[in-house]
Amino acid sequence: MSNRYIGQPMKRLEDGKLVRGQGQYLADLPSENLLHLVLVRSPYAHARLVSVDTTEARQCPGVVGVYTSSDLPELYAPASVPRDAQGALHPLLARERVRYAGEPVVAVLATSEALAHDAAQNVWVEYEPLPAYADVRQAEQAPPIHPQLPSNVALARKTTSGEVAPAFAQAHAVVSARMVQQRVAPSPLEPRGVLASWDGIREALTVWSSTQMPHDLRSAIAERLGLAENQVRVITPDVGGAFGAKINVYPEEILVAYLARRLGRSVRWLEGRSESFGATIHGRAQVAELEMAFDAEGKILGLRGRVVADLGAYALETTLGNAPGTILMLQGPYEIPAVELEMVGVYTNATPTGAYRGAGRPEATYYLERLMDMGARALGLDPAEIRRRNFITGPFPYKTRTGARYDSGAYGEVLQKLLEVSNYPQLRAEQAQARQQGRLLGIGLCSYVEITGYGWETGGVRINPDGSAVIFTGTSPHGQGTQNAFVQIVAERLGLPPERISVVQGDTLAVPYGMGTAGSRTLSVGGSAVLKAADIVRDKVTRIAAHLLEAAPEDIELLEQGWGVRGTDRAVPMEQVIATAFSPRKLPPGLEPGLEGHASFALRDANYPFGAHLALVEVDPETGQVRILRYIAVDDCGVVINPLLFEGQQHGGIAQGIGQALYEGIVYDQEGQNRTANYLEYALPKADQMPPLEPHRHQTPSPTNPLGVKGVGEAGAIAATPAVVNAVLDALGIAHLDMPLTPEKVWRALAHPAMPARPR
Amino acid sequence: MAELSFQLNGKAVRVSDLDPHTTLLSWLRQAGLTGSKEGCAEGECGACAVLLLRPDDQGSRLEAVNGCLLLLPSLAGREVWTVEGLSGNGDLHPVQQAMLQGGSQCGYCTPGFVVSMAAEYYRKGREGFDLEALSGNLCRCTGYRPIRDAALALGRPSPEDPLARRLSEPAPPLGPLHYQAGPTYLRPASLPELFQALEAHPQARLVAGGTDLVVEVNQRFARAEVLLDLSALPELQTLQWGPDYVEIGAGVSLSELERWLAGRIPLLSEWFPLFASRLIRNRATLGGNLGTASPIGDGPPVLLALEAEAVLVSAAGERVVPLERFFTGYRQTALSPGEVIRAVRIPLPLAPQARFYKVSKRRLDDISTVAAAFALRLEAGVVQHIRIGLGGVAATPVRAYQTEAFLQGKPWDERTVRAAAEVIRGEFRPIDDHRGSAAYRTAMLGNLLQKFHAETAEVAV
Ligand SMILES: Cc1cc2nc3c(=O)[nH]c(=O)nc-3n(C[C@H](O)[C@H](O)[C@H](O)COP(=O)(O)OP(=O)(O)OC[C@H]3O[C@@H](n4cnc5c(N)ncnc54)[C@H](O)[C@@H]3O)c2cc1C
Ligand code: FES
Ligand code: FES
Repeated sequence: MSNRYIGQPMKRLEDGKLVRGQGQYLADLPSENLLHLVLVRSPYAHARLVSVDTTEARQCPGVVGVYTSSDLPELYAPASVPRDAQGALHPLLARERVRYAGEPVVAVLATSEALAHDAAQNVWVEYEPLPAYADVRQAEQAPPIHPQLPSNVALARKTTSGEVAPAFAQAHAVVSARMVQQRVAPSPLEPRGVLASWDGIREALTVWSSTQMPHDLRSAIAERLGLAENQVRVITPDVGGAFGAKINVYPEEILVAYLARRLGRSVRWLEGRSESFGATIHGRAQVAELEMAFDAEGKILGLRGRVVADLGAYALETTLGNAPGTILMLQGPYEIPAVELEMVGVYTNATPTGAYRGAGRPEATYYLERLMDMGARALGLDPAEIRRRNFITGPFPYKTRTGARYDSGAYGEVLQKLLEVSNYPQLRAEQAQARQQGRLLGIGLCSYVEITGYGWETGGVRINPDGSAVIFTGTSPHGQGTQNAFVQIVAERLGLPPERISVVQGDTLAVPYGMGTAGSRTLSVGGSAVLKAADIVRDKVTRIAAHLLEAAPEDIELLEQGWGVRGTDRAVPMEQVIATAFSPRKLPPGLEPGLEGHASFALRDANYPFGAHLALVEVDPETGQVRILRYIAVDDCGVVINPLLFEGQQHGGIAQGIGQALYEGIVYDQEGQNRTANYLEYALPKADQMPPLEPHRHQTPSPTNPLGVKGVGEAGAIAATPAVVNAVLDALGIAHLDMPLTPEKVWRALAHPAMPARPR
Repeated sequence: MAELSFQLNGKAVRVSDLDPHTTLLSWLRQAGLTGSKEGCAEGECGACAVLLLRPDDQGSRLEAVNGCLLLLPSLAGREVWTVEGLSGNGDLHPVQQAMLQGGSQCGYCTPGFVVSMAAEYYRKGREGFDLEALSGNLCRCTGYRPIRDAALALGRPSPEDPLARRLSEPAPPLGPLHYQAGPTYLRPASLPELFQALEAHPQARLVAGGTDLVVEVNQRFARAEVLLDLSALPELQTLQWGPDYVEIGAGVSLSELERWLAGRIPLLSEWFPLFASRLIRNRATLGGNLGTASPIGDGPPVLLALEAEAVLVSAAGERVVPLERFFTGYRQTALSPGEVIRAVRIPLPLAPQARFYKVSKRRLDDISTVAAAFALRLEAGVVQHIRIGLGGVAATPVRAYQTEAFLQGKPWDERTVRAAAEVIRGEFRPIDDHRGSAAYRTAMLGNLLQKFHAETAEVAV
């Protein structure tokens, strides 16, 4: 039987609720009898805490408590610190020093949010400002901002493979560049928030948090509060976007849980938008100095250089992961015979950085794709041609010199498809023609390969007596709608109508275990676990049906009308199978009642989606403003379970990639103040800035999981940034400019190529 | 009085003893209507959008506005709909139905988009769907395309549609309000009442659309003892096309003005779409734009180029101040205590050629790095009259007098304009900030003048 559900553009089941405004996000949970937490945050990027006076605040109306670090046990937010790295943990409230503007210093708890804000205005903190190093290059040389550490360098590694020095010595051409991956804010439209409630009867804590990782948060809270994991239940309500920012367990989550436990009350904290620009991780934030050697034919001979990552002031769970991820993916889809790459992670007086949509892959792809275009310029080759000459063609699995193991790939094919669907030669002709009329058109390409999926996951399927079913998953999607794909998988395997299937996710009490949603892992890892669980149920269903039909289980097949015996017209409807499953007497010997299956699935090897994107832009020579005329994407993320969900991820990712290329960037001034802490200053892309996207697909099933899928969540954000930047630089005819390509920067490059761009 | 009432989703609601600085959004959410979301509380994201009923010549009209920028007492006597009111408990509203096709991912922005879309859906006499209606809504997940597709696929309301029916009836007139719950909120309904209020409370903070003021309330906890709402004053809502000038009431919203002018002042028509978003323009007023006196506001350059005058009124009577003398210093104006801007006058006839340019980080509705407005009259290819209004180059909005004088009487040709571009670049000393460098701003002044020339030269020949 061909697929009824898998591969179909089924509408999402939750959207009815969302369009009605009935989504339940953290701030929408019932709020009676809550205590409200407001944090007094440091206005300084680096300072010694001289004194904190909370007397006045304590006397303000409605105030229940005012806390400084000395009123709390010494607790820190969790961090993943590799063995060779120096961890600097984030305290719940600043101790002795503040290390970034926005660091929480004092916690004010009151009976309403407004009263808590009023009281917070009456907390008096005396600071002794210290020199602030928000700039990573300054911080690398500066005295340590964590005095217990020898320096601000938290992580330094070298990856060497092949003979780099001879490669560069023999090179026909060498291109090199210093490239900045600016700090950007993931900025999900729903800021963070957490609500915790102590239940004195059960002696247990329930925590609702806008997080991507409920089980991880549960463990972190239990450990820090001295509770058993069965005393902490974490629930994620509807989550209004995350993009990696809500992977980390943040100090506020521990603090709210702690205060709820200590006071035996319900406590809530909601992050404001400006607060969020300082308190939630930023992404990217790297400077790379790289050079690439080519032979006369444009074949890459070697890649070497240094990537410096700005970690921000403390390590959270994803802070130390971006730089290693960047190096891992720095070979991209190309054969590179020799690499010598150095990576350095540096603490700075700025908001901690961490995983943001792509985490490492956008950085790596951007550097490589910029170098490839520089190589094309240097050698007089078309950007498509130089890529074509360098693609890895297999055999797969393919081990890269940077440590990745590509499961499958068809890099040349996707580029070819892109060139065809975009009619590339025609575009080049149009570009040349436009130039004659003084119009600046630019075409930018990006070939990419990225890595998705990791870890293991649990999945469960339960069929109820009335024929409805529940799926349990440890993944925790927050807007992607992946749960719908799970429904499609179960509907397909069990022949149940999708509208009768619901999904339980984001609840540590209901779901055995899970690693949440991140790294585009949900479908390949979580979906495979759900598939395995569904097949456990299917096996039992088959045996019951065989019993009812007096046939052998091997002869049973799923039909439109139920379960039938192959080659006959005998069948039983699913309802009868279910009824039998719940009637012990009717079951054949050896089968216990109930219809439920639980499974787990471990992904042994990550999978590697790939694709090719093209941007066509026009630059206004008078003002430097950039307009994207067309955007074409060909993505191969393995088997597609639901094309609507797939396209949704393509669109959203590309929009964020365009945002980074042209508009977005966190700017710190000399004093380490964030000058871009609201939407007026931090420019998210708006509707009229999005070109009409032309998304295409290519499908190479992944051998790493039974569904043959790979992740699609990050592809767009990885590919769009270099595609757009390459296009703008193609229009300008210059080698490199750092992002975001604001009108001023572009205009300067046009008008005064010699005028140095101001540091941004 | 510590009580006020308004209509919410078709039902009367009463509010009492709440601080008048409370916004509609926070009140709605506390009242359990959590469909409207807070994404920024500064008018930028539109997740909080609600519908407000306004009178129009064929009954009434629905406008989408930012719930986070509405002070609760400003709603007294008005009718409001939220996303919850669109579907009631029954079927999905056609707009919600359209959004099912991929328009929602995390869903946090969705109610705001639904509301903005609904306002356009009900707009009388519309042809197609004007996507500008969605200009005030941010989405971080979808890349917007599915939302745009949903909007473009929308049909028209059926005659039985309850909201469409409501729109054939007039909106209730706004009456006076005296509300006190801690601070006082006054909404006079006539000039004498206004003067009385101003005399009793000389320090009162004036509120028109609130798009500047309420951002301050939300973000910087600005609080006033007395808030004085100008929106019920008929004298500030007038629009008159006289023989010598057009007079625009200071309290007319920019959307209303746009509709009313219907392109009759081309420079303003160019400006409107570059101003914030539809949501903001539905509330923002010229009075507020001048009252704020922001050096980077874009109303002033446009009005300076049009040689507008501010009509100021107080208990002592009216006086008319040319706009070039209205801005007296950084965020300071010629307004005396007890005085309000009643109207803005634009002299007629208009200079036949005029353009407005805005250079900003993003393409359109951003805060400007530089804003420039030009108005020009040529006679036989010679500059007979030119006015240049600028924002973002000095502590106040300014006219480029030197450049105007330089161009006066000269031929409008490339050579002159190239020389004039040098004059205008030398005329100001803009500052360096994170939005743009002094060098860029200076260069832009010349470039924009040349752009203006390039775009008008053909007509002139
Ligand atoms: C998201 C967003 C985007 C924006 N984009 C732009 C933009 O692109 N360009 C731009 O120029 N501005 C922009 N603004 C600023 C603002 O919208 C405008 O300044 C608007 O014109 C203010 O009008 P209002 O009626 O809302 O003013 P209010 O907030 O009501 O008042 C502003 C100030 O003026 C005073 N005032 C109001 N009316 C009068 C009167 N009749 N007489 C005397 N004083 C008065 C008030 O006391 C107050 O101090 C934006 C604001 C937001 C929130
Ligand atoms: S909450 Fe963002 S515009 Fe109102
Ligand atoms: S769907 Fe998430 S912000 Fe729009």
